[in-house]
Amino acid sequence: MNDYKTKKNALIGMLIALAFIFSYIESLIPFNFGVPGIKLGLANIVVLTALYVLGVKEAFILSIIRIILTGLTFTSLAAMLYSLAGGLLSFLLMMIAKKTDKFSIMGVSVLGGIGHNTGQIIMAILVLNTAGLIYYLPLLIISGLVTGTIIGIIGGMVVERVKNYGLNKE
Amino acid sequence: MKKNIKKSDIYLILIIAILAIGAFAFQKIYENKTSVGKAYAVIRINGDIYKKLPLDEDTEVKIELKDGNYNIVKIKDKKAYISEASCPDKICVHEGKISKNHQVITCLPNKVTVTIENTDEKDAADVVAS
Repeated sequence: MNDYKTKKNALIGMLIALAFIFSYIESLIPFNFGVPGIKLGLANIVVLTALYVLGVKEAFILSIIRIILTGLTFTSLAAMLYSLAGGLLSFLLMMIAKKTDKFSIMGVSVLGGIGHNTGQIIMAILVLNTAGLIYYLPLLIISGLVTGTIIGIIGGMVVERVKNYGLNKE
Repeated sequence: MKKNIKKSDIYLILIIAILAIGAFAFQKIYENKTSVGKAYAVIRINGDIYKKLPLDEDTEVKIELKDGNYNIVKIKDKKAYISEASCPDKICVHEGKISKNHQVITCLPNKVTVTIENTDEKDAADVVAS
């Protein structure tokens, strides 16, 4: 049991580092669609993997730590607020979707992508006190659908490969 | 082996796609229908109206914020856009030109928004309808 815990902690640490690097890579890619909030969401591959391989608690910790680290380094504290709103709603939807056991990792990832974009725009409406920003919502949902599908396909491939990494509790 | 896509994944994707694309199409139609009367580009900082510029006069406004950041809003050929900004991501500049009712440009870092607002929206829409 202790061996399992140590292994798990080491893996969480590595995954946080990996997610952090993904966030950095993403900040370098000029992925600018001219709509605020549209992102590829590479780091969500890692969060998804953690959700499937490690568990809800571990994936949540990873997600939050990644956002805080990224906010403190590559982006800004203000941007961190949007990321947190997006990350929390995204995680909540993914967690529920996975729990229902109705969807594969693809559906879970799609809901994560949409949740991320929706959470960010809700935060933007609150911070800027401008309800008109709801205008972006349809586009953001379409983009979350597309990126969520892509990330879901990649995440599914990753989970297939790492799930037998000797970390199963059984 | 749970890698196979489930039926409910496909339904989920289809339903969301239909709803979102439908909402987007509705938005475009609505924009065109209500873009009548006199149009203004309303600049807001932090939600408060900073300036209301008529869309039919070519102008250029530099929004200077207390912290030294800025956005330059230009109006040309009845279209509004941000030509220059101090923000790091420049998303607002990439958002391009807006001219239809409710369209918006946002600069999140500077908390600046530019919205197209048509006056007499209701009256004008009624005139078109009748």
